[in-house]
Amino acid sequence: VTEVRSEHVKDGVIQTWLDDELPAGLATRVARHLDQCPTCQERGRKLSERTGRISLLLLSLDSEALDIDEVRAWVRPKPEPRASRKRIAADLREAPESPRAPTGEWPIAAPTAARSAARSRRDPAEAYPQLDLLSSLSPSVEAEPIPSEEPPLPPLSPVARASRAPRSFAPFQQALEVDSGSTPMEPVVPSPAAAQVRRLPRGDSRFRREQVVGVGLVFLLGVGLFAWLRSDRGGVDLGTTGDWVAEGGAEGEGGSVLEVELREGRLDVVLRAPHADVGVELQVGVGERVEIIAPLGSRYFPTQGKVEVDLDRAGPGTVYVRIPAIAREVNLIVGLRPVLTWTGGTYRMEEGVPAQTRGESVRIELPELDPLEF
Amino acid sequence: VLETLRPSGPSSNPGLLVDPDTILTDVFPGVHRYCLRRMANPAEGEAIARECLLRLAKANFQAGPEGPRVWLFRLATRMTREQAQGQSLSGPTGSTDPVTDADRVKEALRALEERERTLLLLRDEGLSYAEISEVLRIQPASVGTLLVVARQRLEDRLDPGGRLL
Repeated sequence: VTEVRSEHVKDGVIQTWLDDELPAGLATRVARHLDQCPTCQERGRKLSERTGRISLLLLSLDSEALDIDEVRAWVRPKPEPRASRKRIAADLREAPESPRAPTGEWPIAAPTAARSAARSRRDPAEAYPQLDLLSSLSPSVEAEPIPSEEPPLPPLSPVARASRAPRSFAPFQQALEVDSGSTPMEPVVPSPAAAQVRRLPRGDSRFRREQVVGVGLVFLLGVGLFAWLRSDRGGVDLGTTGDWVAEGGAEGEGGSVLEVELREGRLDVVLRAPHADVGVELQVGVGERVEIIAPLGSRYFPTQGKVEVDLDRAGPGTVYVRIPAIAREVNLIVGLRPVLTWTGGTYRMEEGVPAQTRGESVRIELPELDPLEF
Repeated sequence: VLETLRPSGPSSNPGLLVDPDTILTDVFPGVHRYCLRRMANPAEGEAIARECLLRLAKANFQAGPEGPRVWLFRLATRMTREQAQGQSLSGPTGSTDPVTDADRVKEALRALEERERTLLLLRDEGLSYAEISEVLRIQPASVGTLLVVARQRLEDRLDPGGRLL
């Protein structure tokens, strides 16, 4: 480790130290540097003061305290039907013209609990006590270089020249409307993955400048698949009529196969929350359904003409989409962005979407998304 | 009442079992506040916070390996962002000049990039760097630097001359 007595610590590292988020060894070195470096010490003081000011500013946004009793009522089971009948009866009794007014006394519902007092808030002065340590540190140890905070981005894969597909959001918007929970789900055939994955007849595939023609051959899944699909009754319902989760018997196994029927020859495949460890490979196969194989932990939300694959909880791996040759149109949408359209044996990729051959399939690199994109 | 919401079956990770009442009292107030701060319309923030809690309750308060706290903030971030996408950049109150300190702060927050705004609010709710990195899918080591930049930009937008509200 090179000593960097004369170098200053970056603001981000100082902030991380102030927030007590540095590893112990590094925190010690930063503390020692700050102790002997008036410049960095002053920067740390300013950062801490700014943090306190921002915290106070954000406090001004809050107006109403949360009533926990009311929150408990949100998740409280519904009252028994008998209680409802009593309440109705009480209303009838209070109506002077009611011929059915009962003579007995009815219990009065307990008043809603009073709202709690102003919520307890963190005192910025207490939240950032590290600043006081600046003056008490030992000056005897030299600081060491602070490692780079963010690793460099890996080089991009070779980019296949792609034409801009003439698309609109209309199909997707339509699909969103369908995905309201009220539309009956198209038949979906979850099946054991091991029984579904098979090698398809070899075909030709080639890339052109303006379009990438992919003709299938299934590859993949050298590992055994013991995963299966199950109805995600115990999971979190994200609001669709049917959802399926890919599970596996052991860590490291592949994902599960989901077969989705086309709707008038079309299907939108929407990937939600893809992360850096997930790639997408497409291929053309036989049959009449689109087959999707997603990493373990992925969740499927199939509706008519559309299937969403939520990768939020998926492990690393590849999403494989096998398109039947009879399909008229299959759209791949990542987040809200259409990235690829398959029509009549031709892949059309959105401009700027990197793609490469992988065996005889097409692998696309997911476009850089907003980190918040789900 | 909340006893009925406890998971009835074995959990894949028993170590992450959390008392539902603890979630309601210790975690959800922060999520609720976070939603209200992110939305221009408090009623929308309230509705989203409630929806997040109901979804967690439907899952028996078990929310995967990241735990219910990170899960709630992730879902709240997603839902508030998607809801805000359907509105104008400045939100319903953007057509009028801010009149209160809260208005000015909200305007300044809305002027930040989405990631910066989210970062500031998550940190202010006490999320650790690791939790923030889970929500935002960024490197934990970059959280400190991003916080510095976001706070600086927020202050600049509030008062370029350096004087705070």
